[in-house]
Amino acid sequence: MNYQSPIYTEKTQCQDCYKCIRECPVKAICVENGHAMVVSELCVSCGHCVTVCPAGAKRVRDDKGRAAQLLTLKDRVLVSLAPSFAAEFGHVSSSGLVAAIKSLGFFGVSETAIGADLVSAQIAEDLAGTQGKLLLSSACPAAVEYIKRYMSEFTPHITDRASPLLAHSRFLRQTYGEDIGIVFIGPCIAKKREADVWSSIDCAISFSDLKKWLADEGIDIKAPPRGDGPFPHESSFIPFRAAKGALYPIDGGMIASIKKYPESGGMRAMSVTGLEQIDKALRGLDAEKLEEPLFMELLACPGGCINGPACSLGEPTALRRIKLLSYAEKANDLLRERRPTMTGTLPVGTLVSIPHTDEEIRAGLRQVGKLELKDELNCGSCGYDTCHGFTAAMLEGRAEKTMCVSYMRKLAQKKANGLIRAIPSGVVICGPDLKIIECNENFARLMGPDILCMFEAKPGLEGAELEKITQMSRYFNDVMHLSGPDAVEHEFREGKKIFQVSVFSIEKGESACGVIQDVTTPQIQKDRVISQTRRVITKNLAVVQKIAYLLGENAAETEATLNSIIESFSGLDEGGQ
Amino acid sequence: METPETLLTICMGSSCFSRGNNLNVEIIKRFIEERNLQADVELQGCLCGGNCKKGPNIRINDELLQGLEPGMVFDLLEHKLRTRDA
Repeated sequence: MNYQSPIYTEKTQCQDCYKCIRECPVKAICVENGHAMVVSELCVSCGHCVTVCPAGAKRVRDDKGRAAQLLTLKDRVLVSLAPSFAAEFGHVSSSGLVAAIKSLGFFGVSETAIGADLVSAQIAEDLAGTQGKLLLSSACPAAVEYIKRYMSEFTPHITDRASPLLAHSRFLRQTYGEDIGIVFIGPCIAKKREADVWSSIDCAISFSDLKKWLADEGIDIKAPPRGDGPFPHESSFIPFRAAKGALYPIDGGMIASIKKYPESGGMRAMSVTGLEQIDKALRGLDAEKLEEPLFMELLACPGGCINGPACSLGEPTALRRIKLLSYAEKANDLLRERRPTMTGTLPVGTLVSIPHTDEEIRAGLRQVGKLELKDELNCGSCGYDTCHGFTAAMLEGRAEKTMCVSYMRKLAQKKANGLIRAIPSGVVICGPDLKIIECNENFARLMGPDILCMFEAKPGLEGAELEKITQMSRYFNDVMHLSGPDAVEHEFREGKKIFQVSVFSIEKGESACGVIQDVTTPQIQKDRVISQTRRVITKNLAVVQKIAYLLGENAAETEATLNSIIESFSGLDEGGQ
Repeated sequence: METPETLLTICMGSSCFSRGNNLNVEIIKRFIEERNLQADVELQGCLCGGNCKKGPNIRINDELLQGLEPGMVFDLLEHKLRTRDA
């Protein structure tokens, strides 16, 4: 049991790119103050966001500490090792891997594929006696959760059969006793949900967690210490090797495994991998109209579990598949064992969605400046496919206005335009070639009646050459220069007028902006008169103080000199008497 | 009223708090509530006990438990409180 959801966001790392929303098949992301967080009630734990997040802000709950603690709390803890290990650890022998895992303190390692074999045998029997037209496999927890939550009309078609991991855990407890601990190690994040739900599974960690754990303990998988750890004896899988259940982690593997059982008969079966493909395969399908019964193997990860979100990335998937196939080839076809309870699929809370009325959506669209149909760009930059989808998310409190790029751009434009128009100074923005990008009417007025005429003919004066209009263009060159100052202030004379110019770079080497005031106009004049007067007063006072100081010093010095003269002469008088 | 037989002390010092006891305290509360253990377990907070290095720390009666990640709390309580009952 665990109260935290398997995927979470490291808030400070999230750079508000909305990539997770764009990529999430169920849009289970909520943006709050620019940070994207996973909404656990909507999430199906497919783990796709973890693999696509460019900032690495989507994290998988680390249950390694929990697994290590379990080793101290329980006498015997077993590992249920996902069959994908053959693809992930293809470079080491399975006995080496088992020895390495056992040296961490585990009692033994068993293949989850045994559970898969139990499921195959069960499904083969089920198919023989089935009445239903459509059977959807329950092996992949993410696919089960997706269907139950988002395609609930197909929920009754999901076979009420335990997943391979659940079947395996029950089988292990039946074999080794109820008090053992079971830790799943695999490529899957949704398995954490399974471990959270079912009490027979204690916890689930990933292949990368295992690698890190081994590295932390200084254990080399390629040369594990033999005879180390509390349970040293065997370095093979317990209680035995799995059969063709080892094929489950590739698409079509489950079907291949089931078909080995003769009782399955000649059923029609197909495999669909990837949540999007599952949606496409099923959406709108009328199960009653199927002519023959159909069994569908559903896997949430494209290509199957070997490409799961907790696998190492970078290796060609074809190679991973080959490694898995060559391991599974050596497995037996059938596994006939006493089966534990085989029912139970992942319980999923149903989603109560209140559809939004047209008025609500329209009001929401207006909030982001989309007044007409043509304003709805459906550009997808907010992460949602359509403006409607975005607005619905906004109404549900999962999205923010600021996510709409076109709205923000228009807003910024409007702000800048308003400011440039209303400011009492002249404003001019220039490009790298000193051609005007934009200027306001005040600028044109300051530059004289000719330029004002030009401005009236062509508001903004876009493309006009600043060098031909005014000599202050050189300041623009200065600030735009890559090693130049960010801002300069100058007073400069042009004709009869004196201008005060502040020029600053907007983008180094790209654009600069100048704010120009005419010093001779009354408003500026007044300010200048006041400041000049103040300066005269201060200067005057300073001079007076200095004169007074000199006077005082001079008076004191004179007095002291005169006194000393008096003293010396009065002494002579006394001597003469 | 009987005195509770288990005293659970959770360190609320700033180090333990930020290392995970902020979440742990919620999990412990929830665990006690779900299992109806209010009469058997007394939960109290404490100030820093100087064991920050291996935090977050909690104490079950006199036993100091360190490095308790939020994911580990549930298993630990289940184990510790059950063995005590038996």
